[in-house]
Amino acid sequence: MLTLKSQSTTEGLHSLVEAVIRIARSRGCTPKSANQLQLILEELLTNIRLYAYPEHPGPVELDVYPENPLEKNLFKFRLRDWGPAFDPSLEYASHHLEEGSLESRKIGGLGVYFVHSFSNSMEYHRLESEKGDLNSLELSLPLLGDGA
Amino acid sequence: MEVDVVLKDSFHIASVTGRVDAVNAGDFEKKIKDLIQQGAKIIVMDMSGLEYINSAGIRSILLLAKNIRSSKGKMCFSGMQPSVEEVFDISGFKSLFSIFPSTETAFKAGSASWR
Repeated sequence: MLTLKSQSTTEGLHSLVEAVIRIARSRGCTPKSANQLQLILEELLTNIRLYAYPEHPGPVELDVYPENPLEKNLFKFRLRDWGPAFDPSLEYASHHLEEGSLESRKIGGLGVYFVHSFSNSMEYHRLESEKGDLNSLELSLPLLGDGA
Repeated sequence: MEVDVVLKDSFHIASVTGRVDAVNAGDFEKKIKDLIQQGAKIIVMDMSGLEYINSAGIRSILLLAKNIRSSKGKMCFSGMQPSVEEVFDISGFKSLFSIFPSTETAFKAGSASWR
């Protein structure tokens, strides 16, 4: 397991995204899957920056799971922060898409919806640790999405 | 992210290049909002140079589309790269907006036919 650590600054999180994309590419990630992975990471990390640590930057850790020979088409990682409890797996904004017209369409709420749409699985736990209670979110997504 | 605007007949062509994300979505929104406030009624958003957009950018586009609609104007999109098109698709935007393969096809269709 490879663990990447950062502070929740814009620059720190940008570097974290770049590092994870590099790892995914080294495992044969297609451009389409790299774009989806970037969308997922940016949405989750922006939420952490804004809501887990609204006043001061705080720690963020990202574990990249080793390649599993039985699931070569799967990229799996776990994200941890020490902010207030937030379970994105419960948030699902598909109702936004049911609005038929531009005028009635609601603004916002799409970030977590993207995470749901592009990931294969999502598992949330609120855990205790020496540094305090933490949010742990485990996600997997396909590495070999077709197309550009 | 850069936005270059060219006026062709009554069409304002806004060419967006680079990325629109949480860091610069506000700048992107302001540039197009200024254009609308200056009186632009028909905007073709040329997305051929746009490499990446996330939910912050999608939110800005929704706000801008509502803005131009409220001033009796119209906006369409052209030339999307597949990664951006996928985000539009999953956001349900394909049923809300007219999307064309190129700015030329947007002109040929004519703004009267745009959603």
